[in-house]
Amino acid sequence: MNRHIDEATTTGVTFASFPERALEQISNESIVVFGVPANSTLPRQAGCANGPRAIRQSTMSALSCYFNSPSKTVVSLETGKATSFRSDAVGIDLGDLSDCNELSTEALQRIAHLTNAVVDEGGLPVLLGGDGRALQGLIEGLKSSVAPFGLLVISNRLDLPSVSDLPGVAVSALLPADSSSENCSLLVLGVNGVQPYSNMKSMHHLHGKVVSADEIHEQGTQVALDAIQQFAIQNDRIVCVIDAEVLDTGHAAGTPGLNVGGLTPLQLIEILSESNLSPQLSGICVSNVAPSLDARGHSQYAAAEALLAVLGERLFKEVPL
Amino acid sequence: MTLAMDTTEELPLSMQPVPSFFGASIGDIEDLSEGKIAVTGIYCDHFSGGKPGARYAARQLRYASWSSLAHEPTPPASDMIIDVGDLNVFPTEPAKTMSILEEQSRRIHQTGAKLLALGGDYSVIPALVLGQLQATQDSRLQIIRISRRLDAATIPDPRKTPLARACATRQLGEYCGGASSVTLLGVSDVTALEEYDYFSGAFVRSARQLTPESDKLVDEIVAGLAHPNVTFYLSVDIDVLAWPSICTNSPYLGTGLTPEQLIMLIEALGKLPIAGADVTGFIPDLDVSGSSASATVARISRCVLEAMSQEVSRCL
Repeated sequence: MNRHIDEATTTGVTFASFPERALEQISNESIVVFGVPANSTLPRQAGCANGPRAIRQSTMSALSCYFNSPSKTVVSLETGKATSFRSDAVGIDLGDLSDCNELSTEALQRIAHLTNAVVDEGGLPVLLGGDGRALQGLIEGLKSSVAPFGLLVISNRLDLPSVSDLPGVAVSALLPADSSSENCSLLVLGVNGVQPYSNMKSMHHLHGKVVSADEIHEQGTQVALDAIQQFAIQNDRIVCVIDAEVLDTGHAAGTPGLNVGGLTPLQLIEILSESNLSPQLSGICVSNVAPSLDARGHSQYAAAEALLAVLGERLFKEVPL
Repeated sequence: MTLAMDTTEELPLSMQPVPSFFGASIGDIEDLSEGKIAVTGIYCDHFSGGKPGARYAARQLRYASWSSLAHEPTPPASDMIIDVGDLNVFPTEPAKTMSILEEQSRRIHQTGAKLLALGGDYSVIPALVLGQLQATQDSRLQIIRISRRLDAATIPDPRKTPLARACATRQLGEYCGGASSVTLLGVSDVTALEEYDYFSGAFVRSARQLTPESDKLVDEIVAGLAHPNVTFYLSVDIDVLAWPSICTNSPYLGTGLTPEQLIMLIEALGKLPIAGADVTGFIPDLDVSGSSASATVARISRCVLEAMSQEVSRCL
């Protein structure tokens, strides 16, 4: 295939110290990370183009307690359990997709093409955004290459925002409508605020389920975990989307839009680390991280921790103390 | 156009004082003696390996001591407190910085005064404690470290890296007789196995383990002491706070203590004889909007000062 990856954009830091390799070097079952440094467009704030780089750096920061340990092992003071970073974790970092500073139909097609190629080689595609609209490209690529999957979206909204000439699209529109199936193929966690009626309606057509941020605040993270557990039973394969905008603006201001009353970083990470999704994953998308809008760096760190929590057993294993 | 001035009429002039820590009088080593607390700033964040910016904390904490920025009434400064300015450092020369900090700490402690170091990064604190130990010959100094991190990595070649945050607490432990001389409070739940092993015999509490029982904590610490007559060095790292508006050089996740919990903890520790202290790790925002974070850390620093003052008052 044509080379679409710009090698210079990772600025020396790769995801979890994975080697930087070309597409042809993907091995089966490997985690394949690539960045889509696309900015959001008005009325949303720009800044997501630096998201992939910031997530990579924050991931290294989040893993520092493992990498600073000669045995790459950490201990929980509360549970006494020891966890190691897998020495046999297989992953590569492809770098960032070039020429996609602003998403277009062509850019989405290239994301789809790249995703398709990663899956064909047996890899697990992990997209680091970039504007959240890049998800559409990832889903298109997955639809043409893997078996039917359920879509777990952790976001404050039920749609992907408009970008340049591309109008907004409901998350439910990304999946094929299958009225014959009673299974829930779309679960959205952390929705906050008023949502368009049409999006809610199309969710119902898909038998989709929504757990709002308010429900998580009021009932605790268990309500989200229960929903994920049910969702995982109904869907053998799952694509997980972590939209950083799900986080409350007071905790993580580095996103193109504001979210007052969103999840705390701790809630997000608790939900993902306890849901044990890694064996069923078909793809991951982390989006809407705009580091320049968060001088304190909390947003990218929370996104990186959330991504590590989703990857779970693929990167970490419990070891006897 | 000329401005006509009536020199016979006295104009009401109001001058803002030169900013100092907690409004204390500004002095030098000659002004120190037993019963005094020397408060000093550390303009150094070059050896942490984390996010830089903590070198500006001392300056911002002095500004935050102005009543107009403190967001609360500030009590008048006590005569026992003297702001001795910032310690000299050589940011690009770690060996020289280590040596000069050790010497400055030793000279301050030789006057009989106690030292409270504010701002900067934790990596330089072992040098200050070493100077204190040389001056006081205190063989029973215990360390109380409030931080998210253990900082107990293996100590590298001290000639090559004399100052390193990653092993600073281990270094303090070595100076004071081993890991059992260190009490660690508020640490992150997840810690590296080797560092956890090093502190296996020490008193270690995570932030979650701490929060419900701050009152009983001092009794537990005292009960675990091998000797009854010990003194303590209190080291507070602002990274222990779970407060999104306060930036430190450790990544924020929302776990840790609230400022109120930290203040209550320091107040409880004030019952112990504190011979020296520091507050490090705070990276201030450098504009007006950052004043609330600086004021919060100034309040915490004041609490450390009050904890030290209690011991000075007991001794007088």
